[in-house]
Amino acid sequence: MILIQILLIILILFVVSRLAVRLKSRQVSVLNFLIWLVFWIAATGIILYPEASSYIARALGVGRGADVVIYISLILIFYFIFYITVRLRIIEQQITGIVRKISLDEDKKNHKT
Amino acid sequence: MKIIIIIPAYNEENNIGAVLTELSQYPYHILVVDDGSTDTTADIVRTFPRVKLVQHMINRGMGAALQTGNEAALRLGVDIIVHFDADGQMLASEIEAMIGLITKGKADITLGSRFLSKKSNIPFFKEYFILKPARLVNWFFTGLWLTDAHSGWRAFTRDVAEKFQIKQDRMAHNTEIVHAINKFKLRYKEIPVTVVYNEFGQGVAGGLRIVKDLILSKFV
Repeated sequence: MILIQILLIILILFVVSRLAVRLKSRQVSVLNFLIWLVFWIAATGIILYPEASSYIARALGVGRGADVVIYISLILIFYFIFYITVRLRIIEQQITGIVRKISLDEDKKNHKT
Repeated sequence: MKIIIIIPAYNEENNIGAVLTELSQYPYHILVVDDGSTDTTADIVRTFPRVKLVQHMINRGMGAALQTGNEAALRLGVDIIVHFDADGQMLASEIEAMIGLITKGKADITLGSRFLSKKSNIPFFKEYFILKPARLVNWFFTGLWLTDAHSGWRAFTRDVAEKFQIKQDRMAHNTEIVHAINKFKLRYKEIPVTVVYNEFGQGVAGGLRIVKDLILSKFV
């Protein structure tokens, strides 16, 4: 095993352990946990057997295995940026809803007194 | 007929006093929505006993403040709502023209247009690089070709405020309202108005942010 493989696997073990802690405290759903687990297991597989990615690369018509990994990573990153932007917007709308309710309720209270 | 002028204000201590003084000469009800100002805006508003004040505890943006104003006005039993800026860009004397067609029952909503009259001193750059492209953006997102939909000047009936909610917290609410005209088949009319420019307002970055908000609204 070369050094980069060891480092990456230690990193993945750390990430998965954090994920497990979050599952235990119910900060992530079981489904989310499983999706991430499968993802990290697949990543470990490719780190241990880099040739595996070459098969996928050939099947997809991409030249090198490393390129496939980068392409898939980019797609995932873009998806997550989009997902987070949408979530953020929903949260902003919810905050506005709360602020509006408080301000209108305050107004009602002031009216009565 | 109860007419309420809604003024969203965020850190407008330099302008709000003059705007309220001018508006006070007219028989309209005035409602200021203080959008989480950190300056003395709210204190200045309180010195006008006839003016009603509603306060956001934190800043949520102009669209959010206008929607809060709409809801407060509905509770007060409003018949016609007018949206008015706190920065002194609009003339209180033109409110009459904005609500005329609505009081006569000939329109559900009126939009102030800076391009129907030649009175506004729109800076060249703002006209050709921001406002004209904005028309195109509006048309793309709403299907309505207006001469000017970003003046922020509008008046509408109680019915309109009940039908539709402003969901765009920031500046994209202008386009959202135009979209509502199309969706609810509202009878609308553009009214020539004057807008006095004392400073630049939103630049190109502001415009791009509106486009981003509009694109996102297709997903949320």
